[in-house]
Amino acid sequence: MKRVVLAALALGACSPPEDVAPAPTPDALDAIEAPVFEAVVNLQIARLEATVDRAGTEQRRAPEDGEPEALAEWVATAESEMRDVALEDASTLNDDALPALRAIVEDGELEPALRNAALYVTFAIGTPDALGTVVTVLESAPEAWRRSYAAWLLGQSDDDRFLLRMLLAMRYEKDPETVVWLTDALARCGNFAGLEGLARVASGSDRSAELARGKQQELVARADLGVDDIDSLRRLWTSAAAHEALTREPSDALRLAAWRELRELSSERFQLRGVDDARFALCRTGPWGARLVAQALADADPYIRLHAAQVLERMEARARPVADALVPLLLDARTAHAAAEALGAIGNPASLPFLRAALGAHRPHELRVAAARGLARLGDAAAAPDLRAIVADETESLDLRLAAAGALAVCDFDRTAVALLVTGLEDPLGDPQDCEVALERWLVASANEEDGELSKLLDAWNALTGPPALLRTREDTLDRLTARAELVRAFLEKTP
Amino acid sequence: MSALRPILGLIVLALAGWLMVSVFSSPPAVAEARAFQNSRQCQECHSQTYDEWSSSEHATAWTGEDVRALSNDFANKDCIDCHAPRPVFETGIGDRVLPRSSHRVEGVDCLTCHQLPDGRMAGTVTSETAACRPIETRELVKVELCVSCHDQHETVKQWRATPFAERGEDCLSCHMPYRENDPTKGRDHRCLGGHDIDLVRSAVELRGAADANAAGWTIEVENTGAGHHFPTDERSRAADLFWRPLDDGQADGRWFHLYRFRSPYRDEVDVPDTLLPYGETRSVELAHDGPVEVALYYNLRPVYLAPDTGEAIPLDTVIDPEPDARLVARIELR
Repeated sequence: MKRVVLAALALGACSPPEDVAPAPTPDALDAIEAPVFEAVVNLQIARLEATVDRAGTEQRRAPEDGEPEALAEWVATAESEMRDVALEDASTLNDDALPALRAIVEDGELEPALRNAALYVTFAIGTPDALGTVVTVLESAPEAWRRSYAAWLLGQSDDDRFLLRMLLAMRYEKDPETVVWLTDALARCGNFAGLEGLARVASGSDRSAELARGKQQELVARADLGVDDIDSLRRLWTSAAAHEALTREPSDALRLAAWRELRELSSERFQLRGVDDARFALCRTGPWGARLVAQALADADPYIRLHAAQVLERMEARARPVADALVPLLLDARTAHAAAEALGAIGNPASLPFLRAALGAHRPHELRVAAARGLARLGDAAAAPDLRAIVADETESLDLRLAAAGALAVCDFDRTAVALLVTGLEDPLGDPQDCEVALERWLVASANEEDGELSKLLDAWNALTGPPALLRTREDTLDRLTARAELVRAFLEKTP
Repeated sequence: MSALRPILGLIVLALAGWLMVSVFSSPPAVAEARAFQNSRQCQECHSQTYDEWSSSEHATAWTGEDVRALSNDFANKDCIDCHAPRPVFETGIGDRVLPRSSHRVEGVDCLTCHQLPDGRMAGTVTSETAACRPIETRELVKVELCVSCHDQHETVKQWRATPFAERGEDCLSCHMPYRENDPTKGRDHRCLGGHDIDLVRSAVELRGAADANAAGWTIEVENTGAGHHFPTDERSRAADLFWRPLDDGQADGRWFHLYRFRSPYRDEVDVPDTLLPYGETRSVELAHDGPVEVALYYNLRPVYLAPDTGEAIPLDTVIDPEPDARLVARIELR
């Protein structure tokens, strides 16, 4: 009898109390294996350095005394055919010719024609150091005419080893003519990241615009990708279809440069400047770049993993074929939030179950918010029930509810979600500007469905954007947010 | 022995009293440990600190007008790393910051500096009864805590080269002093810096004298009090010298730009880096034969705006720096 009583007491003690939440139902994330990390980036660099640094050791001759200077003079003054002879001669020289040529290139006292001719001879030598000298002029010459000439020269070659440096030069280039030639040089290497800048130049009305429009036509014809106009080429470049269309593989030298750029993302590097530059260049590489960056998601350094996820996020649809590589990171506490946002931006429908699972109440708060943001980009109505539950639950944190509302508005027009975002527009604790971005995304997505009232609302919303001023005052911003809140509120009251 | 009896009696009495208090008084209230997700949760117990932080530039790192405009509403995601960072104790003291996804509206918030990897808070005392379960953490008051973000502009590196570092006067000495200079009252969490014009005024001295050949004036600015360069924050901060004649009826009151202290953006290849290191003096020649008024202005943005369009205008077309910049020092030379 005593044993029975004790057993009953023990059973009672082991039973879960009424208020304990049930264990979460297994979801898509529970079915995946935890990621295993290793020193991917350093291993790849070591492997490629062993081969790339041995390349280019073919026989070349040292220049005779005064030969580089003479060649530059010759190229500056000779007629076309004779100039070709000089350039052919230059192509047999080794790097000993470079110091004399650099001296001419950098001498501000000399005639521009001679300085450019010296750069042309440098380019004709064609060794990595020689081409690097041309790229350095592109990167750092204060005179636009020198940068433009360097960019034009680089477009005469399809050597891709300096592609990443050229992409980075695009980041800081302001001279329209240089942008045109740089876009051309990138395209020679199978990279169309310059098309956006080219379009900006082409929209003008000056000589550069004319040059840019001509270059656009030329690039479409030269690309030979089955597209008829420049917009189609741009769409192809930014789509997942780029993986099938752009099959050119990078040289080992370019692969090495890309892995070295990934190393710039590591925890070893403190200054964000280098990180920003690396993110900028890597996310503008082609399909091969997406595949290479995806390998870095398994690196042992969490900084590399996180920034690699950001690079894929910025590639958007172009990273779609490698999106699966991001899924295991949803279990990695250091990088899960970046992976979730990247999966949403890339827009692979197969990511949906993982992002929905990441919304689960037992998941880390940081991941849940990021997953909601990712779903706002993915815009799949299947996620609506999960999002609706979070929006309706007032015990959830405000930032999670607003992120879920932003997603819900896009996934499945939901009045409660839109109303919550409108409240957020005027609540300093609700991230008014992010709510504004979310509402605008909802409006743009919804107004496309030919809803007359929504289109009118979008027009009224856009009218409040105001003139393109560099900086606004706090009062301007508050006025705009209040006016937009009133607009959407009136729309919600008026429409069923 | 008899002389010790009263003393022993007192000791016994005191012990008995302590025992009674220990046994019968209620134990200190133990707050339930909480998972902290945002700074508002800190407000319940730390209202003064929260209010100070709320008025700080740290609190508006995500929502401030300047950063919203300059980052294109954070479409430039590079800005997020420092403007909504993960907790510094999580990424590592002195290591580069990483961006976060949640509660970004709070910018550089309480959790950025205080949250430990296990969810407890770094504090000046250890407590097992407070809801945030603080742990005394000495790194909280070290310059390395500020390094993660502020050494992106090399401010701490600049400080290390000054006598302030040798004297042990660190970031907190000037930017988070004790409230009312009383260590028992805790530190001021407004983190005053470039947005506090009085602090800026204490950093530099403006002087002027006639040229040796009396053809004009030599204007000098000396970094006398900043424990780092003036201004320290590259790119988005600038200090400008302006002047105007005082001598005759021709003066229409407009200012003329004379010199700029600033570190340029990366794409400004033709702009020199003119930040003024601590202890150094910059001399600028002003060629004007007659009395002048010279003023040093501090601008939190790198630009001056046209009053009618709100667009940035060239420095040599600025007529009145006041709407965009704040006066640091002014002198008249006659």
